[in-house]
Parts: sequence; C-alpha cells; structure tokens
Amino acid sequence: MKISQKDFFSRHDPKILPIIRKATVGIAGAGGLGSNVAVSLARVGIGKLIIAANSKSSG
Amino acid sequence: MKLVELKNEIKIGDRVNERWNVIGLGIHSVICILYGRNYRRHFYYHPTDSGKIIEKVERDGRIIYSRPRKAKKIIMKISKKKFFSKHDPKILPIIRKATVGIAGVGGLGSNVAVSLARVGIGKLIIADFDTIEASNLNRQQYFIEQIGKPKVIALLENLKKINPFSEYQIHHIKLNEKNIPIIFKDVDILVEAFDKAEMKKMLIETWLSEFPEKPIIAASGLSGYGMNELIHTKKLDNLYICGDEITKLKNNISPMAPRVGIVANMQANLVLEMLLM
Repeated sequence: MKISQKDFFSRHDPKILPIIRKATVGIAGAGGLGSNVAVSLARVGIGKLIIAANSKSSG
Repeated sequence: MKLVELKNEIKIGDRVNERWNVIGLGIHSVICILYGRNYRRHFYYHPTDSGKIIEKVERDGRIIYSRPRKAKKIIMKISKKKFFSKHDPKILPIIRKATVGIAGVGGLGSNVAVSLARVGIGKLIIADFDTIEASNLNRQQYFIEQIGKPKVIALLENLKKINPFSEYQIHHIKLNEKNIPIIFKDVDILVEAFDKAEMKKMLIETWLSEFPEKPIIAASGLSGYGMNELIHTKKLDNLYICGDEITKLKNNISPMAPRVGIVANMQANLVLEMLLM
C-alpha cells in the first residue's frame, strides 16, 4: 500500500501541522507509558521521536 | 581477511572494533557509525536465534559484509497462562467472563477495543460499517497497509495479534434502532463510540429504552489538543458520558490521537470499574 505524505496529513489542522512536523520529542522508557506516548505522537505526526529503553518485551 | 563476530551484549557507545561505534540498538539490529565519519550501517541480529548477532564484519579496510539474512517468519507461541501471569488474580475471572459491546470503531472504538483486549475481556462484540482511510491513521488503531479494508476486519486482525485468547465478534453493518438490540443483546455493558451527534443520540435512546438495566458509556467532546483538566466523567443513571462536553468537531479536521485516546481509555476504564463493582 503506497500512501503519500499529503494523503496521510490531509485532515490534520493546517495551522498546527508545521509546528508539529518541526518538533523533536524525547521518550525515556518504552513500556506501558512510553509505548503509548510514542504511538500517539507518531500518529499525530511529530517530526522526530528519540526513544530509549533497555528492556525487551516479554510474554 | 579476518572475520570479527560481534559480541552478544553491545551497548550504545561501545567500540565494536577500531572502525565501528555503536550509536543505537534495535530489536534485530545494531546501528553503528563508522568511527570518525558520518557513515551509518545496520548489523542484523537473526531473530530466530534469540538475539545473537550472526552477521560478520570484515575489517580489512573495505566495508564488506553479507546482506542481512532474510529473517525467517517465526510464529511466537505464548501460553494463555503466561499472557495473564501478571493480571490481578482477584479480578481476572470476572473480566474473562464479561462481554462488552462497542458501537463504532473509529478513533474512540478502536482504542477502547485495543485497551479491553489487552486487559483480557472475555468477549467483545464490535459493529461498524466504515472502511479505513489514510486520514484515520492519526488517531485510530489501524496501519497503513490496512487502508481500504472495513474497519471491523482490520480491527479483528489487530486484536488477535494483541490477545488471541479472547473472543471477538464483528459486525460490518450500519447500526440502527432495529439491529442494535439484536447485535448487542448479550453484552454486559455497551460503549458508544460514534462520531456523529445524531447517531450517538439514536444509539443512547435505543439502548436506554431496550435495556434500561444495562449501562451505556458514551463520549462527548474530544477534539483538539491539551485541556487535560476539562476531561471528566458524568453519570446520569445508567448513562455515563466521558469527555469535555464542550469541544466540537471542526469541519474536515480530524481529532488527534492523544485526546481521543484519553477519552477512549476513560470509557474502557469505566467498563472495568463497572464490571468489578
């Protein structure tokens, strides 16, 4: 499935999109909080995420 | 030519050898930077080999290494016991016996479904008529390769990946006064997760007249961003409303993941509270 950046951001608010795309956010830990924060911010379209965690996911 | 095998335990900042520094770690790869130069490359772990790096780096000046091996697809086997091993044993049996309905699986419903599936609700009954569009991905629990699919089908795929031990019943249908009582007759609690006001009203009225003894958890006001402090829950007999009850959808602008997710998870949280009361 090919999707253009334009399609992906087609219904984002044009007033806030440029600010979001330029932002860099750090997430320390990628467990219950961090993984959810990361998914939400990625969906919103934050330009860059820097993520650090040291544990593996376990069953 | 001497082959250097990377060590299993590698940390960011390590020198792999005199040419490579580690700058990042992935699940299946070690990201390295060529010492003193802005040149990155990935070394791949073999995922079937419990994280052991089997790619080898030749170190005689030239950058030579075998292409990353195609990872064999591995089906992760996980037991039900392990999956639920850290759930609270006092509440687990109640949760496993519960059936929850979700009407609409857009921004609210897809997030409610994912949370309740993770928690381990025994059975979810899910209904929605819509298909996935690119602009949904900023808040709904779908992925790029699922665009064009009916939302209920895609959600079922995703829920099974998250928790294969619960039962999911899906209905690809537009809900109305007639089919709501049939589709959701066996649920303990219904979650209202529509986006249009008139659909919300229809569902709530139908529910309260057909099943006055069963709770319905609705949502109102989840647009925009920020304003954490305005989001709340209101109770009116068996009708519960989560949201700020103020913000309205703006024409052609999608709500965003964080606020939609908060309200959806308030609904899911309330489901648990009522099941465990």
